[in-house]
Amino acid sequence: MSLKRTAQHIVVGSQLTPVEVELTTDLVGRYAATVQDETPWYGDAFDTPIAPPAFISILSGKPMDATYEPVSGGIHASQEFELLQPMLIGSTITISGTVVDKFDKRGRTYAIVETEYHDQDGNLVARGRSESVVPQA
Amino acid sequence: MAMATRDTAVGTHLPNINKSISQPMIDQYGKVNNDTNRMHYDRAFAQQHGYRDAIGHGLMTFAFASEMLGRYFGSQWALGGKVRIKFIAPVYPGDTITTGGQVTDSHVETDGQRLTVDIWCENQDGEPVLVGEANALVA
Repeated sequence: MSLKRTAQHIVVGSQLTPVEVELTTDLVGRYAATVQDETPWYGDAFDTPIAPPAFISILSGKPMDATYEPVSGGIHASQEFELLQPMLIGSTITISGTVVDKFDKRGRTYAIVETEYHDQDGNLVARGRSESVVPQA
Repeated sequence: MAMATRDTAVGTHLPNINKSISQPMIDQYGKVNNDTNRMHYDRAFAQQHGYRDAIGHGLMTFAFASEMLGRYFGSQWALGGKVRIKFIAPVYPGDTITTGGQVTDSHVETDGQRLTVDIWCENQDGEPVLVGEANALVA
């Protein structure tokens, strides 16, 4: 990985490096404890306990991080998620993404990234779209 | 059990949730997220960028709104829930964040009845930090 996540290096159309994440009980548990969300139905509404729906937040930035070296100073501006299927604890989610736009507004450069989330069986379980201010250098 | 039903009226307010923000909470979120952006952990760095302190992750605030939506819609939130949010102001250590929501639409779709809600999170001074819209099918 040689390019930094800065305005001049991010390329529109970039197919980001896919990342696999195993949703272990430990990882999901640490997330739930951090955001203090122990909603009961996560444990028993489905055949298998699921990650809190907002757990997708932990996954959404990984393709960008795997493709462009993270640089401090960025700011998250907006986010969309479509939660198609629950993310089961014990599953492995592959996150893929594309930089779909980059533009300047009020002296800042913004990048828009669309992401998809597939489980280990290839089922599409979620989609996302984020807009972030990226550092200039 | 979900609070939202097919009979939920437009205008209904969602029960809110309160969360206290601390730097250790932000630090822990960063560790779980493998995030290294100094905006969240380095006060001096954040101040150089115009903030009065290190700032919380926007998606950490979203987690609070999602918890509110999960309580309201039940498991349907994880089965076809959609959300669109903007992060409009920073969240700082020491803040108390309160989530809010209000039903704005209810209509029948092929797969069932879909409720749409405006959602927001505000700090202890009543200043909004996150705004958006979410929807999900109700049983």
